[in-house]
Amino acid sequence: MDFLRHIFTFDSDSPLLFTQLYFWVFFAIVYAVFALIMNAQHPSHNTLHRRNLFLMLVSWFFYYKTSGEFLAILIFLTFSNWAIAFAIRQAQTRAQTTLAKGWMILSVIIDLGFLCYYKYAYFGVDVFNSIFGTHYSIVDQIILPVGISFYTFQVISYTVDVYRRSVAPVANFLDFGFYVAFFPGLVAGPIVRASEFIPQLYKPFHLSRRAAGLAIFWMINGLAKKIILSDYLAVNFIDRVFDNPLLFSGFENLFAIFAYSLQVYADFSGYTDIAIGVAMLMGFYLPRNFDSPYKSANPQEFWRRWHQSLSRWLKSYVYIPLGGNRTLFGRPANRLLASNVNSFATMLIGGLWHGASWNFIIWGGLNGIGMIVAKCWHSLKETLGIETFIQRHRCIRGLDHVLCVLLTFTFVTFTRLFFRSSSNLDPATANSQAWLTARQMMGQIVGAWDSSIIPLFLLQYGNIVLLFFVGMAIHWLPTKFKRWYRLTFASLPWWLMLLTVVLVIFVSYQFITAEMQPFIYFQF
Amino acid sequence: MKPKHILAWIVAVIACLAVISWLFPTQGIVLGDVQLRWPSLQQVLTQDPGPDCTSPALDTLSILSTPSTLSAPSAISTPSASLPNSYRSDRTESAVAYGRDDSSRIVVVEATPHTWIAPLREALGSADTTTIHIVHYGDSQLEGDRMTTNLRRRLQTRYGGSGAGLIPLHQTISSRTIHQMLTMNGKIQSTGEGPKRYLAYGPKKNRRENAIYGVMGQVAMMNDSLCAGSEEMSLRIEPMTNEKYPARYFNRIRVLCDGDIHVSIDHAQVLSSGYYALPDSTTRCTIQLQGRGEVYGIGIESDHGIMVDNIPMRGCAGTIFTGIRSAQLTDYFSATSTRLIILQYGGNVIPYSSDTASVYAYIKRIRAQVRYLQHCAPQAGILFIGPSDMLTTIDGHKTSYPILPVMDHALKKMAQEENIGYWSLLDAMGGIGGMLSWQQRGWAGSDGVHFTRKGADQAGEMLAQYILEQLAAEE
Repeated sequence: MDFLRHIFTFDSDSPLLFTQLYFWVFFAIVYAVFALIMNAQHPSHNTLHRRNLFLMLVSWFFYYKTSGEFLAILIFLTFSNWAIAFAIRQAQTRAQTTLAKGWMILSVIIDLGFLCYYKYAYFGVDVFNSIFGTHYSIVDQIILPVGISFYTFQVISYTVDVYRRSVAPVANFLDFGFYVAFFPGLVAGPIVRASEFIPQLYKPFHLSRRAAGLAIFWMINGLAKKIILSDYLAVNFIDRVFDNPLLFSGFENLFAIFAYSLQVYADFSGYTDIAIGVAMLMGFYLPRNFDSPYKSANPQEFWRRWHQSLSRWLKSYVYIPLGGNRTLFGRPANRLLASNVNSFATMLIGGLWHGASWNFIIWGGLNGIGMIVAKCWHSLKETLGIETFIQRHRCIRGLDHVLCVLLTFTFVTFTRLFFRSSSNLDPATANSQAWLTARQMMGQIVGAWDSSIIPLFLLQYGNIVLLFFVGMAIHWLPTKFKRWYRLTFASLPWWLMLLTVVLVIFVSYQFITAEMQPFIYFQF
Repeated sequence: MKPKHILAWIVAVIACLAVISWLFPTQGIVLGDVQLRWPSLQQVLTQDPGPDCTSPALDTLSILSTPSTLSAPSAISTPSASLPNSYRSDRTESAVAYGRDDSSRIVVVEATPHTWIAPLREALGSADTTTIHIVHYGDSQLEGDRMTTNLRRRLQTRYGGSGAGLIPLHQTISSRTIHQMLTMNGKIQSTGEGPKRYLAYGPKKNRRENAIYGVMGQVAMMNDSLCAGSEEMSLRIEPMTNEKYPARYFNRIRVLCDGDIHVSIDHAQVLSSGYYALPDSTTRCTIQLQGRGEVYGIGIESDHGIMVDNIPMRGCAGTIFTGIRSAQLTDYFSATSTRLIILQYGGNVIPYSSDTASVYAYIKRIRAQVRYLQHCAPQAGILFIGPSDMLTTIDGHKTSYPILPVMDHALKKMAQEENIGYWSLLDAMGGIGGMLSWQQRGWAGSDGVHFTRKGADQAGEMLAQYILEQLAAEE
């Protein structure tokens, strides 16, 4: 009985993680039933409905295993957005535009209300107390439902798109429920827009041989990224430094910050890779979320390559409504000024989306400033003719690109000092602790460099250093080469693919040095 | 492709992995320095996280019962409570609460009960007119005034007194209590800069030949040949936070220095050599130093009550005191009316102690330190705090160092024999496996060794509660 209870009930200490055996057994069983449903000789409309209903139910079970009774919030938001979308369309049909707008605003208020309560209550009270000198406090501890930031944004995009008439309301609640809850991307994205996903619900299953191979590649690639690069680096070095920066020299602190850049990429993109692979095996295509972001030559490019689904969402539902590069505070303005102010505001909101603490806002703000400075620098280079000179000489162009990439990587890495310092913290103490950590790390880097420790560091942490450089080297491989080896893997004979996968799993297991680490973006 | 084909492939992968689990040796395969591991079918099916109490890597029970190595002292209650009943964290939950709710429950071993607390208790009668010092020595667990903060706060709140106690001339590790800014010849010194220092602990390159390090085990040189021209120094002291705790206020400054150094503090009155009285209680002060010589530390004190000095020594196992001139220690302990010396060591030898012989060698050296300090401070009691629970990786799983209970037990025995107090931090954390629980609560860092700020507060609170209870029991 205990065994069955363990399988079917929520346990906060053992959520369903992609890196756990339990998830893969869950997936194998789900896939077995999925195969049974899709095995019909002549798949009909009913077959697709059965599939969608089944996948929605297992997605809800997946969410229940990850977040317990917060499943009720997911179901409520699914229902409210589904119903309000219909109300919007009905009002639009009757030409009641104000009513349609009212419904849309109500829907956004409901969605953001849940998000704000669970995510920003502590922060809001803290800010209120600071401004008005009061001493209000949150009586009960608020636990953040896993993935609420992701699925809230997803349903907001649906309702707004319906209001904008760029997507039709989904007639069947079960289909809509499936879109919102589809388990591979439920807790950490990618944030899928309705127009990208809902048409897939009504298409018959089709998966080519190569697509199946690619799906397997994404899954195994994500697992290796998470276990070998992210968890190993974190457990054996990065977390130690961030926990007690003063115990390490400035050099070690600096290395930890750079290593964290690789860790957070490997962690988040690893999750997305697995999500894309798992979805693809069931015939659904999720959008890519990363495109080798550390190859970016400036912060704007970085944000086009990093967490692409969030960047697109912010552009569509924040930046453009704010005025984009045309208006500022609702009035026509200089394009450059409007673009800079609106993109800065968007980055601040993007920072706040990640977490309720000043450090995330600072992180967002720094990225916004970085984008503005890069844009201005580019304009200045063009005005002074430097850009023309650089483009004319191939060698200088290459050198300039390398320098820009390294500079952007360094800039992004240092902004992460605020990002990492705020992560994994109790909201009540996040600000003070994060400031302390950031200050101590910078203090060590600036004031306690201690070069004499470098040989000893290389001796003690040789495997960490090696792993970091190997990880970065793979990241910086040419896109064409990466595509080549992906396709080569996807075209392998089944038996060879099987052996490769088993070997990668075996090697990855050797890197597990502690209990499974949750994905970083689970907390957002 | 049809889903059934993909399903068949998934099943084939699972089958291959199962076959490996079935065939792979449970003890792994060693290839040079690398040990290849793979979970057995049983481990996979039962979700067994690793080694259990039934198979600790070192049979601590048998070691403890072996008379030829470290015989269990008769006066000591059975150590079974601290033995590795489980490496799992869940069992330690209740144990942590047990210690936290009432720290006096934690086993304390003494030949003559309460002798170590008696000097402090006796001195408390005059705490409203004179100063009493407690000196808290330890390893990196104390860095940044961690653990000591709560102890100081509780004692000063209960018995009066203020001030943060001893601080070094140059703050190489920022403290959570006092912010120091040292200026040398007009230039502000970062943590990596500052005057040349000699340390009684740490790398040997920092030692000096004459063994004159002062009570903090470190000395800062003024106008040393390595920092020529550093004749003028200015030390600005201010509280780290706006929180209203007693340690932020002070009205006495004690400058421990030697040589031709002229000290000046605005509006201060010289009480005795190196001891200055400020006109009123303050939170900020600037100390000007000029000349040539050695600075052993700065005391931030009040004119009465309890002062607690935090003296962390990174990487130190506590075996360095005999390397410090006794006259300097005696002078300080005597001049400041030190009534309690707390020694918190042992953690740094755990990773290098693989058997009872190494534990025994350490105990021998630490016993010599205790005797030396008893000689230097005959008016003070000594409380030894043993190592915390510490994690290492065995077969890919985080577990406590198997030698920890042996070390803890041996230190208790030494404490009893030397007539000093012993507070088991290991027991306070919930015994073996406690560190896992502390990590889950965010009280310990991911290295499985150091406390986080919260954890240090928790440990400091338990220690303070224990000392207060002992004082109350005596009263």
